[in-house]
Amino acid sequence: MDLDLLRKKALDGLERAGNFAELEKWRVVFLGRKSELALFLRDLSSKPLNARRDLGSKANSFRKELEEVYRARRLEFLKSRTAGKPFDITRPGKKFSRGHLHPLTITLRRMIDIFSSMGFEVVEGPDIETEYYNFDALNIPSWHPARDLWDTFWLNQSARGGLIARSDLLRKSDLGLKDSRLLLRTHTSPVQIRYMETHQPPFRIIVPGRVFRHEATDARHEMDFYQIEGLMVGDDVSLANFKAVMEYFLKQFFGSGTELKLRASYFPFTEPSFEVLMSCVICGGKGRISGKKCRVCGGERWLEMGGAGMVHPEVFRNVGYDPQKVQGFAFGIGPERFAMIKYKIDDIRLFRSGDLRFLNQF
Amino acid sequence: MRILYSWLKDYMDIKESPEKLADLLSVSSFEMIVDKKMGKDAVLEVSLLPNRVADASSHFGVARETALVKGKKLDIRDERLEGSAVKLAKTFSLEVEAPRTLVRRYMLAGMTGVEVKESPGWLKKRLIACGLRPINNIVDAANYVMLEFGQPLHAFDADGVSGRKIIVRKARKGEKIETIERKTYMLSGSETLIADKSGPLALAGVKGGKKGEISGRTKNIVIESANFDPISTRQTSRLHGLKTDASWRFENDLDPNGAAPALNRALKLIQEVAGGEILSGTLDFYPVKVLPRPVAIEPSKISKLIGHEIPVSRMLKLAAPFCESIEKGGKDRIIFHVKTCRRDLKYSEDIAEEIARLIGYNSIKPKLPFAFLIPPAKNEIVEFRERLKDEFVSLGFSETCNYSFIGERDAELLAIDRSRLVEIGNPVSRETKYLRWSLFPNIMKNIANNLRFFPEVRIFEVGKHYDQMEKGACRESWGAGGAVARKNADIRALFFEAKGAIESFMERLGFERDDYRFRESGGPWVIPGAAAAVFVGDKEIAAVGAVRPDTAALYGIDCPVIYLHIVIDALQNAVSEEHEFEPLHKYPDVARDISILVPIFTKVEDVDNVISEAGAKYLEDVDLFDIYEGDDLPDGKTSMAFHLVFRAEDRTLTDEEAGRELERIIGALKQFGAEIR
Repeated sequence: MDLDLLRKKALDGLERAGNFAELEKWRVVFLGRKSELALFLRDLSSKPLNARRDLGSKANSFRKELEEVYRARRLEFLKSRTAGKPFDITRPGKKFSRGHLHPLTITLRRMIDIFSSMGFEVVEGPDIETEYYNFDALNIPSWHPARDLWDTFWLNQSARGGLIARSDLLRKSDLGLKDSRLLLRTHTSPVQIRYMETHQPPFRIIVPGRVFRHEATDARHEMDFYQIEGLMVGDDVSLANFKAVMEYFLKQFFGSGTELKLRASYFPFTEPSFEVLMSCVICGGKGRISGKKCRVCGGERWLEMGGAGMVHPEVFRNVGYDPQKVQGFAFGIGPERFAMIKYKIDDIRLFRSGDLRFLNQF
Repeated sequence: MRILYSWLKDYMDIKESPEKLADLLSVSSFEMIVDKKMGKDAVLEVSLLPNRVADASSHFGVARETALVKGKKLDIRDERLEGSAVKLAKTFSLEVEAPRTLVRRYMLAGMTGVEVKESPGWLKKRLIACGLRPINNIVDAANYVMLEFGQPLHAFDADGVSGRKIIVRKARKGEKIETIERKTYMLSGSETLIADKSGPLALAGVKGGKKGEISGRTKNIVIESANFDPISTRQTSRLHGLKTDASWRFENDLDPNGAAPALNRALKLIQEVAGGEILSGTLDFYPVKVLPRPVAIEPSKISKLIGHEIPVSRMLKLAAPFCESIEKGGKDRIIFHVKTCRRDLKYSEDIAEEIARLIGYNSIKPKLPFAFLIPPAKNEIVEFRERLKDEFVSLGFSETCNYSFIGERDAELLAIDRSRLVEIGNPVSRETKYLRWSLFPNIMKNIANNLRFFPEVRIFEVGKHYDQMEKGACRESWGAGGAVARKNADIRALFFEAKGAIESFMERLGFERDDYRFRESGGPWVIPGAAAAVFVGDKEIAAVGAVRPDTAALYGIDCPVIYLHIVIDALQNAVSEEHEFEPLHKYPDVARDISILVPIFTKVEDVDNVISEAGAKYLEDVDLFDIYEGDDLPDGKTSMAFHLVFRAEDRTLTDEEAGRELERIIGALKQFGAEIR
């Protein structure tokens, strides 16, 4: 093999290779497994030892040389590729098709995350409840006018051959309450009772879930919506503690400028009872935006965010706790309301519209 | 309840503007807003919750509450007027037959020679401002005193009461009463009646009757100021759909001691506006006198509940206005004798509320609780559902959140056996008659609505569905439902997209291909042969099916729709969280493709099985990458192409070894009847 001739052929050939395909062809001819050089190197073993040493080192350095010029040429080609017509970077990118989570899922997750970070455990309960858990155990006996505060969907059980709930709905407190009728829970508060019947304080839980109210729907009222119940009970869990927990929660959810205020209220299952108000996050608690009444708070500066209170001693008694020994707070807040304020949604019915024009925005 | 701002000034000085007053009471007491301004005056709208109706459903009550919030005491001034020489008891009598539990107090006073006419302007103005229609001076005066003190009163024409005797008794079943509005009610027998010997005069605590009503000819009157049992008043009011100003107050447990001052006030006012003489004395049935209620508190416990140290002296001062007397009951124990007008205060916690709201909820400093620093246990069930949602979203499905209800129409369209549906006894409309037994109907509605705006719709919902079980029991289960619909789509292609979604899903959850199986299934709304159930072991964890075009059309969908659903708890039970890492392969694989012709309707799964069981021990994976039923194929044949992967764990397979493996598979396929292309 004439190395010099081969070198000349190789270098000339490289000069002529005008594109990647030709360069690749060149590589196969001069550096490939069946190239002259490769065959020569493979043949070396049959040559005498001294010839082998000399020719071998020459051929190897020649191969290195060829590899070197090949690599350099390749880089030249690659470099030239970066020149050329610029992309129109204003053209839309190719979209990846992903779906969207419902705004209530996003809101609920955020709410749950914040409470979880404060050590609240997530607990759930049934949508179909007994009258006992939904009302009586919460200190709302059937004759009490407070029952009117919750418009209730009752199940038609007489036509179904029974009044009593399924067996796992029944707990010790139901014994003897044969006529505890079935209903759709009007709040998540029955889970307070279910949880306390089976757990001992101290604990902190939140209960997300659907609740139902027998009323006509409009932009501000739903008959089927979410609620998050909170319950924290211990030796000395106080109203001041509730304020700190709720304030932290609101600031985490809506921003550090959010202020909390409590207002006197009444719930049969808490005493003291209060309403949770938050400084309007839209107008910054000023009531007006550039001279006009804030649309969200109606100029009131405060928004009602939920109800709360200290667990009523009768409720503790109903679950077998000694109200002399434990105390705690309970609250109920509405994820729809939080989502409406967060995203400035003005009609609660949109959440259940199933309309992708709405859902795709989240 | 409407409250006239200027009227409050009859009882106390108020320096605050109506707005300021409304703000003050809204924070500390009950919701109050300025409803209407009238010059300096205003109508305030007060929303009372059940605990405060008894003491605050009147102008005096609101004034007393305003005083309390300002740390002042305000009591009713009870003035009994001098009566004439004639005693009421001489000319009129009262008999209470009803149990004393139902009639806690019944008072009557009498007047003679009144002149029934229009009320003076000031009185009418106040009534109208509060939303009451003036009738005549006697009725108006009675209403006025109710608005003033919260005690409902009723005036009877004394000459219209047969035998000049009022009998308070239980109604008889089937008895009828005609009210002042000339409406007749058939009584059930549970009601309490005010009657004379010839019949009913009034439905106690709820509504007056036509008989004995005040008319233009009335000269002599008796005025009732009574206290009826809250529960039975509420029952009567609900039974007959009569919610009145009187029933609202009685059902919230009015103070029986409020009857006397209101009666005295009414006598004075009637004399002022209608003249006449007051008969001396009253008839007063009051079997069990209500006394101030003793409520024992431990001041330290109150501070602990509120989480804010409140000195005992401060507590005493705050409580003084609503207490008749306060008694020290030993160390850290005080007994408050609460005035009978505040019947809502029973527990030490009630006193805590009074103290907390009077010092101001907003003056209590927030304090973070001390609690164990153990992070909460994760709720695996909730987390799994959330994970499913994320998987759906990553597959291009958007989440909807539908009502838990379905209507009669859905049950009809889908021919559902009604006995398996949980039925609402009092639905708000036909659309909410049942709880959904499946997520399907509402998702179909979502699809139909969205197809108006989008050519393709992929949606899902994670929610509960409900089943009516035997013997009145109900079951609720979590499910996920999803649907894919695309205009002008090939239904077959769409089916395999949905099936692919389930497969991706399973892969993401850590299932291997042979951990689960698709089995043909059916159902009333799927095209026969175009539905599959997904099994892990013998548990059905999901299903997918092409919705029958006629069913889709019932929901207004005129393009292919595939529905899929997941049985969440079954799937969760099947998911093994122990996801073990597999070492990376040391040696490369050898891949071979094979294309075969098989009779049409040959199942891919069957071919798969033939290949897997051909005895090729280095076969690692079989993948169908093409399936074709074109005109250029022999009649009745389908072409399938598989990608086969061979690998040895301990060395690189040679071409020859791979070839031998492939031969084995080809042999088995030929035996199966396949033609190798």
